[in-house]
Amino acid sequence: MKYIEIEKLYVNYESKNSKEALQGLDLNVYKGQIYGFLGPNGAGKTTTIKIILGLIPRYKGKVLIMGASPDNLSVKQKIGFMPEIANYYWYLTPRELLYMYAQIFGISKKNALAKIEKLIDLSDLKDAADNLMRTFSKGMMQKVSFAQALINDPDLLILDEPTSGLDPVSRIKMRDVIKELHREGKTIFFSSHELSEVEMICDEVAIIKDGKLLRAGKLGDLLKKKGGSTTFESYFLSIIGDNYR
Amino acid sequence: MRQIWILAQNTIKALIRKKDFYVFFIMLLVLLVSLLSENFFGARNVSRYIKDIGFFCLWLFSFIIAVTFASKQLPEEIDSKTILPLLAKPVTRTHFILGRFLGTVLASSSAYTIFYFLYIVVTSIKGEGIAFSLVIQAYIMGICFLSLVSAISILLTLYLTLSAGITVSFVIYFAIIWFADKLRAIVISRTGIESVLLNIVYYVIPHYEFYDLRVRLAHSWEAFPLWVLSGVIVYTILYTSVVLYISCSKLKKKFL
Repeated sequence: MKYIEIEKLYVNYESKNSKEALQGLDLNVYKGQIYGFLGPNGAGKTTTIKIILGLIPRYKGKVLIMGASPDNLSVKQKIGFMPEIANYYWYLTPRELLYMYAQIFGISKKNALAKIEKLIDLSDLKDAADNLMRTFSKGMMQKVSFAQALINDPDLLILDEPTSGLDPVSRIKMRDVIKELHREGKTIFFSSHELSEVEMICDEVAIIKDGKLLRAGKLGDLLKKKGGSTTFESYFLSIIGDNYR
Repeated sequence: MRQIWILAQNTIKALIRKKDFYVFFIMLLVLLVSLLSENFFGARNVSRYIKDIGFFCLWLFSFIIAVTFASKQLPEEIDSKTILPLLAKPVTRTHFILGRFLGTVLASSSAYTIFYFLYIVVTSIKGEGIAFSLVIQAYIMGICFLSLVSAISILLTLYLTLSAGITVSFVIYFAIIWFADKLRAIVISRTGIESVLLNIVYYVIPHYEFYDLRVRLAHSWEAFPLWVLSGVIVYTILYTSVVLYISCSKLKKKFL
């Protein structure tokens, strides 16, 4: 089953002189995949994610998430999203934030409290769970962000630069949790600049630039087509046409 | 409905934790206590001045809380990007606007209620009481006023920047309080197309002056008939609904 189905997607931002952020993008993500979404800055990764989440109201093309429109509330009920910039209400504690989001998903109080404890544990937030987020570092906010993305036990998890700002240990832990979530059967759409991380985690990748899909497929197959001996980093650079070396 | 209520609760929590309200509460308390100890050079009927100035201050502080708080809701959420994970959940943009509006109204009304209670206590201590029916009417009018102000402030920030939105909210308020009556007189004196245009302007502007019972309170006049109060409540509901509808439509089209 296709969890994300995008065909000939065009997005043009409101300002008159801006070029199209997405120019006929095609993308298919199937149930149970960990899908890496790569591209240089300004390639259109975050725009694509916003479209998937129903945050951009006007676009041309076909977008179906789990077979329905991206702004369908029953679809949103099954999605977890971790944004690139992790900013949350500073006047709340992580526990309060998670409880608020649990209420939005209609999770019962008993289940919500149990789930929150589990997520606080999983995200290493035990010591800070009752502190206002005003004082949190970027890494701490990333942990809160990861926890809130899992509050509804989502079928489709969308992660935008999930490990940026994390220390190496937290990064490894998060990577392990993502792999574990995949083993549980969750579909994960993973946008990152960390090529090594994508290489370690993802079964399939898509590389985009200037709003267009350049390559998509299984990592091994893509490298094989290039002769097999190249590294993923060299492959990526050759695809996006960056010849700084 | 669940989403709207959750967002409203979150807005109230923000007011409590951001502490803006406490500043106004202390300012009003200091002002009313100092008024209580004054006798304006031995002036008679000093309670009338206390009622007048005290009510003006509580009205102004509640207005400032409603405007600043309502105006911050959208720009702060959009700038800090807290709106993104929120709208990625089962929350529509209509839920968002209505939740933030309800939260702002509840928060500013709670502040108004506390200010109003303080005002009633101080004026009672000083002397002349106020007719109970008028106390209730002025209270209801205050809540209606804050609802309309909150809705308009939210709408303005969808078209303007935060500071411009707040400034325009203040300009609209003072312009209407000072010039609405004069505008009515001008409308009556004109004929033809001028009259039509001025009538449109007169009926489109939010009539904040409907809600201001300061003079009536200060002079301990009688409460007005119930049909007038009902009329103003209906006017508030209709006007606020239209403003919120425009806000929801505008936000639905906005790229986040």
